[in-house]
Amino acid sequence: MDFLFDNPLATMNGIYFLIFYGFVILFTIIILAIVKSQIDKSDKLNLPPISSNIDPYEIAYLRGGTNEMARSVVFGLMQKGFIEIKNEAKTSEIKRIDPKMSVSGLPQIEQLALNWIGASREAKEVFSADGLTKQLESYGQTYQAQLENAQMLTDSEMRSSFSPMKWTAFLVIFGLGCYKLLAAIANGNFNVIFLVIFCIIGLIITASVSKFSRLTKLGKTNLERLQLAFDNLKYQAQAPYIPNGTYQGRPQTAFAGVDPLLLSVGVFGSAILAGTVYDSYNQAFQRAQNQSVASGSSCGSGCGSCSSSSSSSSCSSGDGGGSSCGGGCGGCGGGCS
Amino acid sequence: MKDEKKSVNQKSETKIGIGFREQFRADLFLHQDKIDFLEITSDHYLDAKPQKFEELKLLKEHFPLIPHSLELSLGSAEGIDENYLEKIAELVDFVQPEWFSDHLCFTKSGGVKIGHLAPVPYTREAIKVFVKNISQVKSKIKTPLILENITYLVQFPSSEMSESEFIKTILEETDCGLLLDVTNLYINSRNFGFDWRKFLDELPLERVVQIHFVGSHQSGKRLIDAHANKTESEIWQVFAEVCRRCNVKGAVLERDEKFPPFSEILDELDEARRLSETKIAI
Repeated sequence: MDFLFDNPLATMNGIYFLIFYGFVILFTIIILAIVKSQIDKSDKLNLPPISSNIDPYEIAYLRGGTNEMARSVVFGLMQKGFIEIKNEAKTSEIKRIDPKMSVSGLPQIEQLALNWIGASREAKEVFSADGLTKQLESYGQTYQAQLENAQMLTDSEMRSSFSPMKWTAFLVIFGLGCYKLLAAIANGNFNVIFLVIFCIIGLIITASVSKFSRLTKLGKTNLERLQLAFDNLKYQAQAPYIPNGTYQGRPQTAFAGVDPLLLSVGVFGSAILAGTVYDSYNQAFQRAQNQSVASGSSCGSGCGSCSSSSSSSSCSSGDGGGSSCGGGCGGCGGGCS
Repeated sequence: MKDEKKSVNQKSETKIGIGFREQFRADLFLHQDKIDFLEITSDHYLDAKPQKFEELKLLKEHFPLIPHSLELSLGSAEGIDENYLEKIAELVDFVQPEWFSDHLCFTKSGGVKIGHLAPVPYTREAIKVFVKNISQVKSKIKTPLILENITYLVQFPSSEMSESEFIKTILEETDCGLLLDVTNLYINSRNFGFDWRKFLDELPLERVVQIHFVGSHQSGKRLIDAHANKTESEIWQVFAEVCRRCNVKGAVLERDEKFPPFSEILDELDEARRLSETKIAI
């Protein structure tokens, strides 16, 4: 028992122990980061070619999970003239324009969303517990499986293989801190505030480093590559929809298998619609996000607004989603664990 | 083109491509089925910033690429800029194209870039300069080099031969292919009043590897090669005639300004494909 609290480590001078402890924390975190990086081997894989018939909803899912996919689907319906968005003083309403309009040409995902909208819905309902995101869950699961299979999203296997290392790191930092705390108290030293601070900071950093981003290295690279490939699309696709706007010397894009503006929303988020005739959509979802955050419901509806260039894109607002949020922001190459 | 490792003069169908410009980037990926290859301006990727290099990698992964450089200055009596040649060699090595191209002109004099594709007098002396410089390029880069005819606003009184004879001699002495810019040919024929068909008769057409085409632009009394207009019917005539007479491997639409909706670009590519496939004179 004497040796337990009477050894070089237990009796080490406070300052020297803090230095030693700091090194241990740093070393542990570096090892943890290296191991985490090694677990994600997706960067060794070849990127898939960009298809001419690219699915904007899959890219939206890759970028930000079910929330982003739902936002893109709503935009797709709006652009095709099935719905409109009315922004009132406090609420934003998604309204079916003409219930008699044939839906036969719509993809199933859009038909499902249209059925959910019915005559009208409040924008914030899109992200509620039984909202559109819930309705589109099966599509989300399919995309999730496809993207996991392509090693673009981190999967449970990756997380579970990292788990022992993560808990070991926590144990080392927490255990050493606790041991020294007990030893100090046993030796009559009660000036332990810095030790506690070091321990807490160490644990927070460890927790942060332990988080897997939603996207794997391959997923991030693929998203960045898509954003590079379609970088100019966000300007060209929006040009015809800018009121009294000019093309500003940019060529208007040609319609391919997918509408360029919808693809832009999928790849970059709805921020690209700012200043276009679809601004009401942007405002509605911004408001839905604020209301959602204010009420603390769900995982937040916002984010998805990658507004900058491919190389430096970022989310305009965080989704705040944890792993239980079923997707969340994911952002432009990063996001929820 | 990427998959067919054929020699320059082997018979093959004409691939239809476009000169890559950033403004087209998204549309290129959305219409990959309509574009067989891209011609990249080599100079944009020498000392490239990381994002530009990423773009090059992205393009290479999706399209066969043909580098087209502007500053080899093959007609400069002072010789080739070794540093520039080294960079072109690195680019060609990275891209692994079936051929690469530059112009029958000079763009540097006394080490100074003149910012223009300048013609040379059609003399034996000028041919010697081209032959020497091209030999230097070929010793450095094993990929076939093809040479493009340019437009000019003056004809040198000191010329000892016709343009067609000049081109023919260089091609034969250097064993290079020809990048026949049908727009340049048409513009020169209009500005200097000669018959482009007769000009074609005098060229070694078996050496034509690639075509450039785009509309001409009227500037005062002259036509210029502004790369800013839709290909007009007269140039389609030249295009069709060249396709009829030669085994052209690739035809590239060069558009640099006044970009139209991409659907119009696709229409031009479709027309080029139609003419190259039917091989009928119009």
